[in-house]
Amino acid sequence: MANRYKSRILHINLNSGEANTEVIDESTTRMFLGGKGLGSFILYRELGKYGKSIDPFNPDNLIIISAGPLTGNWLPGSAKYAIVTKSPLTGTFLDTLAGGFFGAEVRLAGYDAIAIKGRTDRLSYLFIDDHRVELRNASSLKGMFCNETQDAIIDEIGDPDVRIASIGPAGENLVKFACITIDYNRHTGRGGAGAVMGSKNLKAIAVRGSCGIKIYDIAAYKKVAMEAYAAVRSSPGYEALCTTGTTTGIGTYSEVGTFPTRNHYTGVFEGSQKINEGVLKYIKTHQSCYACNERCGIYRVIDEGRYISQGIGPEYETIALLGSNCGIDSIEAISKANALTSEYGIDTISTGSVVAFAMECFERGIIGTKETGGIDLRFGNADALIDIIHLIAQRKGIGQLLAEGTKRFSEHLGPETEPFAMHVKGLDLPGYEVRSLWALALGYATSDRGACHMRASTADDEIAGKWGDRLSPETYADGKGLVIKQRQDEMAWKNSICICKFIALTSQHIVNVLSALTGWDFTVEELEMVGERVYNLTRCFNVREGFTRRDDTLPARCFNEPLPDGPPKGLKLEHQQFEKMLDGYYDVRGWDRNGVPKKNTLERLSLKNLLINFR
Amino acid sequence: MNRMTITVNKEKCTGCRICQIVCSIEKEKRIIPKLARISLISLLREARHEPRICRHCPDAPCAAVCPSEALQLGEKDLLSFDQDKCTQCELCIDACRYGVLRIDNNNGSPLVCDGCEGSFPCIENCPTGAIVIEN
Repeated sequence: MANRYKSRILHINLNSGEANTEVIDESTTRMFLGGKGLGSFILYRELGKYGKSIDPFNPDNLIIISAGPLTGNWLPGSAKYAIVTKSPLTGTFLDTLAGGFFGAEVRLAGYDAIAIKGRTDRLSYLFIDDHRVELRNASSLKGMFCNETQDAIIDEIGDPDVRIASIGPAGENLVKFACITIDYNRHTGRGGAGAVMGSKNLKAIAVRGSCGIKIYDIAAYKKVAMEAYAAVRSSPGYEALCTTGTTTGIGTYSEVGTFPTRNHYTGVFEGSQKINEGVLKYIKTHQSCYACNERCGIYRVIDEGRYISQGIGPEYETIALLGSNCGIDSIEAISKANALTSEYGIDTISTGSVVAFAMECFERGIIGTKETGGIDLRFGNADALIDIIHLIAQRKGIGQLLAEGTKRFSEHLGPETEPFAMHVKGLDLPGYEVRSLWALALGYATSDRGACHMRASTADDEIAGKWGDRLSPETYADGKGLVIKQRQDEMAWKNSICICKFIALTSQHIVNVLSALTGWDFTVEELEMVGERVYNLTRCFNVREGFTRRDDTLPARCFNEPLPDGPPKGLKLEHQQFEKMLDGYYDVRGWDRNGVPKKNTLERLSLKNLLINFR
Repeated sequence: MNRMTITVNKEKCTGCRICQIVCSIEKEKRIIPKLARISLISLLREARHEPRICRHCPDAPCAAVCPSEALQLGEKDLLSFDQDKCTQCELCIDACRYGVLRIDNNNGSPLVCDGCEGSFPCIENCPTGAIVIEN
């Protein structure tokens, strides 16, 4: 049997080109596991060294690629890894996860995380070939789309199986919501990690690994891994995910009034049926992530008509934000916009949100064709959406303003636009209209990276009535603090151990896999404790950056404008109820009424000694 | 007795590499897809994938050209490989009509599939039927 698992971090300083490896002791590794947990541990520690808040584009900010103990293993959903940094869009902690093959390759190269700081003088890319770390000239890749960049690097290295994370023109141009495109079709989308890479003059990271991943107890592992595949194969959502991926059920969200439409004006979209039919067209094939039998990557090819495109997606969130939220019902146009955002390297959610915000400003006469350069920026104009995507990524014309994100664009236009600037802490609201999903609203408000559906996924359970009647505002707020805490902690450990949220495995099953892999006697309670610990650590990061209760809120539209139609017609968030939910949430978290973790909470989670410079 | 037939339906392959992962666990006692005895030509950009798996051909051209009898077709109609006899001449690589055999850069010898005594875990665990075996 092999040695027990410890995290190995490759530190790279782009200023000097130096690289060295840090091994984290076993007990600390157990406390944070990997992914979000390990990344937040490194980010909190490293940015704490400066004694003050640093700008996200300061070379001292880090880009941390953080895999977990499950990444790269023989297990469904084990392709995941996190990219962790301080977000230029929000100024908060940021973790953004993706699947594909890149994270597995990082582990095959012998690392759990790669922490990159500094800045190179000229555009460069990193080639990490096991223990060999090379900073290569990327001048010839300047301005290249993500796919072209990855093709060029594969040609240069001469190995089609080298795995690449790259930015496109948007990252180079410091678009605040630039993403990192990985393995051609996967994205660590939210919060602007691509812009942080751009600020470091780092065009791409190529990884090739031949060390392999050790297994502590092979016989035990084989048994639990095979059980996992069987469990996933027989889980209720398996067939649908293998057929239509994340686009399953789009029509339902509009029927129940939670499908964001025309900048979150309503949750009902008249074009939802057309989209629902559209997503079944143009499917050419399915692509898995590493080791996954749940092949949810839907590869579409549209090779005729006005909008020609190919690639994986669009996923549900993309369709909601680039589609209904911009008033667009053409799957062809949405697919084209999706392919463009992938090539340029920008987050589809924030892109759809900031364009929808601009469309509302246009329809209200706050901006006109003079500002848009002649573009008729009305809801439903698909050509306008596509034109604007080019301008954003290239930071040209009005794109220069949109590239700063909804919050800053709204601040530029003036306070009259603030009520319908649909973001929390600067991160745009994703594809669920929350005026009739109050638990999710609390989740958006208290998420550590701004409005996010992946930090506490509750929409489907709320619609199914799991926690009461969501259309009865008198009683519905009760108990939602605990619901959100539990969901956030669950996602925090999933994002730390690195397992995909679409994989239907029980916590006990995951613990059994972890124990066989690492040699630890792990328990479900310990796993849940990791989630809570990590969520408190990211909270401490945000508190240290100056965030307070005032920031744990939602856009004014959610409080002031009742939903105009659909089953939740007339519903909105009520201030009093919301503050009550927030108090309840802070209480179950062991945070004070300003949202700051209490001393005894940090002690209970064994964080106190790590956070010496916290308050 | 009918001989086994292994077929590849590359249109069904989704590129997950489970075949390579289980092979490497079986043969290398760790996860290292690069050393799997089954290879995968994978174009992520176009979502096109092609597994390349040893068919254990009845005429075994790889064994036929092997000058040192390191490669042989054994009793169960499965290839066998004796590392100690291998002279690293690489003749087998060119002889394989399916382009399956590769060199292990660590020792210069070919990565040879022995079918795991006929259990073929690579095929057994393929989630889509991209590689199938018929007896």
